[in-house]
Amino acid sequence: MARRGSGLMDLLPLLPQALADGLLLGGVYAIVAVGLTMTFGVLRIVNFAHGDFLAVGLYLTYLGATLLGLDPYLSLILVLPLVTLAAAFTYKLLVAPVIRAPEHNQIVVTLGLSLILQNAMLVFFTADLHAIPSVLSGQVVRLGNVYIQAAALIASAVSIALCLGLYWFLRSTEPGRLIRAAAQDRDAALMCGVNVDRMYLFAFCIGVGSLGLVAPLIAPFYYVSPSVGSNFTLTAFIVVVLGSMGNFAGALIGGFIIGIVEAVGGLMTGGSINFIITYAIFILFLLFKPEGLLGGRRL
Amino acid sequence: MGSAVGLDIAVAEVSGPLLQVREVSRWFGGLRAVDEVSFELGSQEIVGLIGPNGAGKTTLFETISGFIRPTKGAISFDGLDITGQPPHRLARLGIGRTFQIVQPFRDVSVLENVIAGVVGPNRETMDPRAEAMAVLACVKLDHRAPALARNLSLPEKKRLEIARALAIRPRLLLLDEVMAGLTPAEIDEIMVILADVRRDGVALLVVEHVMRAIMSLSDRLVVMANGRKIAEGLPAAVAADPAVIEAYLGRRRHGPA
Amino acid sequence: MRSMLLLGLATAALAGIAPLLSIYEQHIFVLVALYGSVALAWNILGGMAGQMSLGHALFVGAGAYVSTALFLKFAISPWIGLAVAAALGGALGALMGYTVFRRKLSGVYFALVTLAVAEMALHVVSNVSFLGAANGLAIPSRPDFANFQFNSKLGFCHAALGVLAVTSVAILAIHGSRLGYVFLAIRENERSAAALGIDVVQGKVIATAISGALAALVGPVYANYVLFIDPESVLGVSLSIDALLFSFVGGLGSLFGPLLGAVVLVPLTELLRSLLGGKLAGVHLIVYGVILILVMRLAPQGLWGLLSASISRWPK
Repeated sequence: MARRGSGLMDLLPLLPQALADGLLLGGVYAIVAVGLTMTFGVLRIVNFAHGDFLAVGLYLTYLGATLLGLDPYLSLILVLPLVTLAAAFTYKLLVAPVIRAPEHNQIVVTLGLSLILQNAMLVFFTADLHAIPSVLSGQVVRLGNVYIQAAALIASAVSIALCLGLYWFLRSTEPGRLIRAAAQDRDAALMCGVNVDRMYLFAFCIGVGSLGLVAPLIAPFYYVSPSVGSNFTLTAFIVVVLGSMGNFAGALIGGFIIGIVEAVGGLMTGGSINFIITYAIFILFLLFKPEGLLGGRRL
Repeated sequence: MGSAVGLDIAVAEVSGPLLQVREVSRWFGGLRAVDEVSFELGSQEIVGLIGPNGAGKTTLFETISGFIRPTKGAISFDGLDITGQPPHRLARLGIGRTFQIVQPFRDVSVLENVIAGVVGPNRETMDPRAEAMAVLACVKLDHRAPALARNLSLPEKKRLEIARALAIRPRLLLLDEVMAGLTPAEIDEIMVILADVRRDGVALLVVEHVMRAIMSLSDRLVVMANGRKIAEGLPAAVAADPAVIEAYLGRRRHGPA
Repeated sequence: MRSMLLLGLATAALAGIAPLLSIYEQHIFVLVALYGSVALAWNILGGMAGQMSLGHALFVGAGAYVSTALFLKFAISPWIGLAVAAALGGALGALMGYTVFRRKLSGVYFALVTLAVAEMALHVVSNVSFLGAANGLAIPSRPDFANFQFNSKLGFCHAALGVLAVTSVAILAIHGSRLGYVFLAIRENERSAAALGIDVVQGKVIATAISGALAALVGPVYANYVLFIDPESVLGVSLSIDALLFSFVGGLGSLFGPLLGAVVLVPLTELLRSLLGGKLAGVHLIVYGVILILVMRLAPQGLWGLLSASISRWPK
């Protein structure tokens, strides 16, 4: 997507496409950030390996395609439970023991996990980029002058649905309320007989397991490589902060904004400048509006 | 006992009260945790702050020690307006405090904990180690100086908490439920220490639930309920005040707020 | 003062041993000293003051690039470059620290900001041709004292040892002064620290500045040793992780544990790299990850803690 930006007028006709690309990129960011909103925004668990679970899901999808000939939309049935299982293991073995410990324990432990996951994938699959074939690969929807990948459209739609679903889940269902209670005041919840540990496990599995849903959805239009994870982890954290922490709508909006900014920024300048904009936005927000776009939540 | 702590507090001719709390209020949204509370404290007084749970004592404490900004009202210390000043500034001015949940610096020694208090306010000190040992002697912890703070018993930790606060050479010491969880014998020990501290020229503002301790320790009592001051005066008088009795008993009748 | 004396003796001893090592061992010596310095500097902020940085490569890279750019474009000696590097590192640290800490945000935010700023710097430098962009900057080999290029590896051993010594002196000086207690209190309990008269925000900013300045010193030395720098090698996240890793493995709470971590892990990494080479690149990182998790769970006091515990158990 690197285009040598020249005069502004030359770029204007390219803007609608960039906006469309940005929206869809934003949809991907949003859907990855939604899971992190659950684990970091609600549960306050710092998981630096978040993006790497996405990479694991992508490689599982890849294996499904190459070994079993499954289309990503089919292998979803396998990938989702597998990633959720991985999440459960991770919680039990790594996160639960340090959940009451100082923050840096969680950071370091998940950082270690990230190193292991990323490099295990590097060793098994090498650093080569792989495309994953799908019935929808290359299928494009055309709106006027703008071309949109059909698979990306579906992913964005699911992103919105997931946001709404999780929001409704936390607000209006019994388990959701229990999770919020456990997260807000652990001791009070314990006294009320809530199995806090199980609630946390459940919520963590939802948050990280959702990446098992995301991976097959983005597989048709996203190359898989071991470093996919690290690209997404930091951006996901930024989106969550931007979106005011435990706020799913905020994560959605934040994701789309970052996506658009990166796409349009990439249009104007080319090169890896789009990452710089994301980080700059993050720093500016921390300087001036640390409570995020939608405010309110205590940091 | 002379200057047991070697505090060298210059008990100057303070032309007014040491601490003045004037119509201090603190609201949290619609909740008036502290509602126009006023009182004064002189330079060698011990004032006890009592009241049923939820009366706002801790919130008031937090505003006086600089951890919370009052919504309205003013606080002055030795004539200086300190409203809204941050805690470290107040500590350097001479206001020390202990915390309800004692949290010493766990992985270093008792002595190091107190040295941190000696050097914290960034004033001139000849020999921080010696000063710290002197403070520890005052709270009878000098024999535990090399022990790791995490290995102390609860009463020892409480005394360490007091020692650390004394190390900054305060003229006013705020004690936040320092007797909680102690046996009667341990409480008596603390009372002796506090009497020594007052003799060395430190004023005390004490929040406490252990009634017998605060009744005998305090020169005056200030009683709070529902965020307001409902009584003030000599312990005996306050104990007999019907409004005070109502506040405590009434709570018990209607259950916790 | 006794510890300063010990430090002087140790430095002299190491300086004396260096000429006796083989070329390969001297290479390891330089790497251990340089990585150890970065880790020690990281530990001032992370272990002593309790604030975790995930982007310490920023300081090393800033030091490396400013010194190299000054040398290549303006023929300014890297000796001056060292001083400029330290000043730049300190300024960056102070700025970043002030930005985050005055907002009283929790540790995770600081970690995220350091990561974001380091990544930002990496991408910015990758796009600035003046700084060599993604291809990096090569330094022509002109061995001369003024150019900070020594005729033999031995010279670099001493230079790296010098940086290590400077950092160690700083650590001892902090530990023996009020600042050491300021960092301790901030690390242990910020509320108590404030109640003891300590300006917590100021303390954190000072810690970040000192840590940044010392880490930045490594940059110019590394640049002139390897004669080549590029964004990935001096600004990459792997360097930041190394600093953190060596400190945790060596012993977060100790003063010199990070050096111990470097002494153990740097040769180990070189060994793994030479054994497995390009075929299984990344295996050493898997090992790192496992070690990190094991240390956190089983021996949070690190190697230093294990050593001092077993020493104290030796019968007297």
